[in-house]
Amino acid sequence: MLLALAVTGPAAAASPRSSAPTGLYSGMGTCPTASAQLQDADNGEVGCVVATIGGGSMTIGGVTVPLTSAMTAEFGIYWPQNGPTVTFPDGNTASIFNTVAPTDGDELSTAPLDVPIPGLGNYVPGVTSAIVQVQLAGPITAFTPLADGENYPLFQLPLKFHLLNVFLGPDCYVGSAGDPILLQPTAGTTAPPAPNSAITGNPGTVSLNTDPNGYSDFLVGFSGATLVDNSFSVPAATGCGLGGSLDWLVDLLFGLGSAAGHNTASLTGVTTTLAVDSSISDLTAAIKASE
Amino acid sequence: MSKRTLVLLGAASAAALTASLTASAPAFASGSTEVLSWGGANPDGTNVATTDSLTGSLESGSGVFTFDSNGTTVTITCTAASIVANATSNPTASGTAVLSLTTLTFTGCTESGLSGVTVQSIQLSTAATADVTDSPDDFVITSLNEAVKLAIPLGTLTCDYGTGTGVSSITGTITNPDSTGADGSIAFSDDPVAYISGGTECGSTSNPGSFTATFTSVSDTSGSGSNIAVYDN
Repeated sequence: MLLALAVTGPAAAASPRSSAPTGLYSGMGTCPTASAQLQDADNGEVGCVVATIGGGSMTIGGVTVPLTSAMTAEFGIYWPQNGPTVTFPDGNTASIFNTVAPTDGDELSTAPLDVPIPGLGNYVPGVTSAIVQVQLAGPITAFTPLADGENYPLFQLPLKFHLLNVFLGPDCYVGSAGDPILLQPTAGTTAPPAPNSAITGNPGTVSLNTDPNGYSDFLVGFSGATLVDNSFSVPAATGCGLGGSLDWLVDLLFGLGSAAGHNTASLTGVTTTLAVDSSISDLTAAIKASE
Repeated sequence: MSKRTLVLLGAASAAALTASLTASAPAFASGSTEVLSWGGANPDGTNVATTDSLTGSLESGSGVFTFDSNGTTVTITCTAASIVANATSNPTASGTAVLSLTTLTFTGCTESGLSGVTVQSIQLSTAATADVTDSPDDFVITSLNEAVKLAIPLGTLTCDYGTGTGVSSITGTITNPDSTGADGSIAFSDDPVAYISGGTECGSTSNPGSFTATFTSVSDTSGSGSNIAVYDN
């Protein structure tokens, strides 16, 4: 037994622990490389994406909600051979990727926001304010990374807000899977309906990289970008109060439903890292090698 | 793109020279005095007319362009190129001849430095201007905007380089052809090239690219005979 301990002790200490991708692949440990979509032999390109939104704000009607906590999106992407593309006025084209949720299902990680109720002092969070949890109302779609710098959305982000307040009950939402707040943010210039006017984002800094271990994937980093959208609509609240009895109050206080042209989203400090490869096996090995 | 050694030597074949000679440009024009001539150095050459078109090609394997993509050095090497310039002014030597550079297209290009990237095209966005002097023997390009279109796994990306912030002109050194029309060139050697546009992945105005190329067989397509090489006088 002592011998066994003497042998197994160091071995156990040296045994590999569960590790995570590092460097350019940080955060890609939940990339769904084994999914049927990414394994499809008909794919022209496959990849993994990690994006962090540092902050920003959303103005709905006349109420501005600061995004005080970072949000992180993680997902896989694939583009079928001869898949969809968009051609921009400058002659460049961009592939439009499909997305796949990460292996842990947590495609968008957000922290709750403490949003003061208009007209009230916020003395007791959750009582005199609403705790808002930003959630996905569906998968992120139409991921178009090369739209960075163009007047074109980088992706479509369907959201819903879960409002938590002692008076609103557990099922108070703004937006739903069937009627989401659909953000289509761009680093270029928007073309919103009136009364909003055009606003412009910032593509930030783009870096192109090659795998440090010799794999053939292509790594792209976007940092310091500001993405904007002021063309989206926001539906009315649902499920607030007993049987939705307080929906009208939430709508009144927050100016819901709010038609397109009255709302603005600005996502700042957006940093995105993506790795794309024509071979899923090569991509998988590249991520593994970074651990 | 930097020093373009435009070897303006026309070893061009007579077959390529079916273009008619203009009445104002006799084949034997002893006494010619202008900056640019074809068929021989002045006074033995024929003055290049302001309606003439001059063409050249890349010396084999000489086209190399490098730029910094956010810390990654990207090198593009091309095996062929076409240059076309229309003479707009050809004064008496030692003046400055002016050309409108309408084509500067590179082909057979490969990229190194980033995996998964291929070169789709390299060509002028708009016509550039080239000033030619005999002393020094310079081919000075201004108003240059060369579009480098790259295919990457996410789509296509166009980076524009040329003259701009920090690089007002790009100068090639002219070597005149010999008496037979051979061995002329316009050479660019590690000439700084300004980043103009295309995103930070294409470079920055504070970090110019570099261009090396030698152009040869520079000929006047309006010339005729066995020697239509262009000379700088």
